[in-house]
Amino acid sequence: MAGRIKLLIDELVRLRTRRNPKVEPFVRAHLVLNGLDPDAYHLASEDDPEKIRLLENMIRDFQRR
Amino acid sequence: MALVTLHSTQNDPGKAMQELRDGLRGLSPRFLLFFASSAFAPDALGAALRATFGAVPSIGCTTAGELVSGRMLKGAIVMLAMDEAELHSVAIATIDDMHDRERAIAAVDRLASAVGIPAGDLDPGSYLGLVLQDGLSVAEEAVMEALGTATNVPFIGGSAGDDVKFRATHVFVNSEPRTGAAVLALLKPKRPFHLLKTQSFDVLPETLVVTDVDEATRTVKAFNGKPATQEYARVIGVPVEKLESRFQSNPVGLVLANGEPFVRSPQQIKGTDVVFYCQVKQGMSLQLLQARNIVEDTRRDFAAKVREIGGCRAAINFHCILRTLELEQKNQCDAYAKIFAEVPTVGFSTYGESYIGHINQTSTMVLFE
Repeated sequence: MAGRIKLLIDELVRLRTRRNPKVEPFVRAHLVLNGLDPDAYHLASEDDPEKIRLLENMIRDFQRR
Repeated sequence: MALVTLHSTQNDPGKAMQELRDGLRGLSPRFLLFFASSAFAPDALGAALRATFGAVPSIGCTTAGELVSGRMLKGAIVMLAMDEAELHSVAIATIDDMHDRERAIAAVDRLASAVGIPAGDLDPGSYLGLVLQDGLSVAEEAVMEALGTATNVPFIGGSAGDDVKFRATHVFVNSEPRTGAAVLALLKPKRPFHLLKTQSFDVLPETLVVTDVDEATRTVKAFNGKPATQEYARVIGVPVEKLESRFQSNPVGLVLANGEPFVRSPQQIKGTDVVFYCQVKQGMSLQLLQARNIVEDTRRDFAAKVREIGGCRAAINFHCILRTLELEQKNQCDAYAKIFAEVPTVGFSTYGESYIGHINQTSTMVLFE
């Protein structure tokens, strides 16, 4: 399987910037520092279960209430 | 409005706190931020703080040297006090187990709950996050990942020091000393604030891709598929025996698309492995850095930021101990301190700065407009 990481990164960036687009550089830097460089992944990138789990946690934890 | 910076070089914690209190000249503080030499016994320091300032919310930590307007100090306490006229709100939380991601997320939720807004909805232009961490925990990356995930408010701060003894560092929450913990403060200042991260390096084209790493111990075993020491020395152009002597002037950086480096500083060689002061991850592409002049770069960047924001009433400076050691070697501490002579400033020499991640070899600052 491929492309899941790219899709999750796009989803996370969309969620975090929808109310304030100015935070996009912060969100992207946070991803880079956690080994998830948004520019390094595309739809053909091989899936990595560990990175997918981290991204799913990030999406879940940002949306919690 | 009152935002006051104070310091004391008294070595008795009670006398030091009284001197700080006297410096307030009647101001009633709503929040205190302090950085204290590790020469103070943590319990005695906490007790003196409590006896002098009562229940005023506070966070603080031990240091590897203190900074105050125009001076770099040893054995001192520096403090920033903000009164009611400066702050809409202040909330404080502790992360008792820095390795536990869920506890870090929960701490942010407690802060958000205190101001009545979900963490994900906090406005980063209105709220300022401060974080002070145990500098010997080897867990700062986990904390920064969680903080950066939980909210769009950037948390800025540093890792506590112990004057380069590497035995024990302490953070303080409301005067109580803790180890193995991080303390958070969420402030809503009434006047604008700004963040500045400055480092003094050129980014070189040579690249080191992390191909084998023990992330938990920050130990890189291989770069570019070759033993870490061998490949690191090759890209610098020195024999392996000379590698360690180049660590300070040639660390590596995680470089963003805009060219901004996040410095990852090597600490020591173990066999053919390289141990870092902060975590690097499998597959990360790091670029070789070349040191520049710390004083000149910091003076330029700080002055530019002050001009951009139209004046600075006070600053907090989280300053890497590796930079302090370099300034000491080059006899440039006075020149560095004088950059901040005209601006009320407090800061300390850290065991790593906290900004988006756990980083090294920067001055990472908050500037109050």
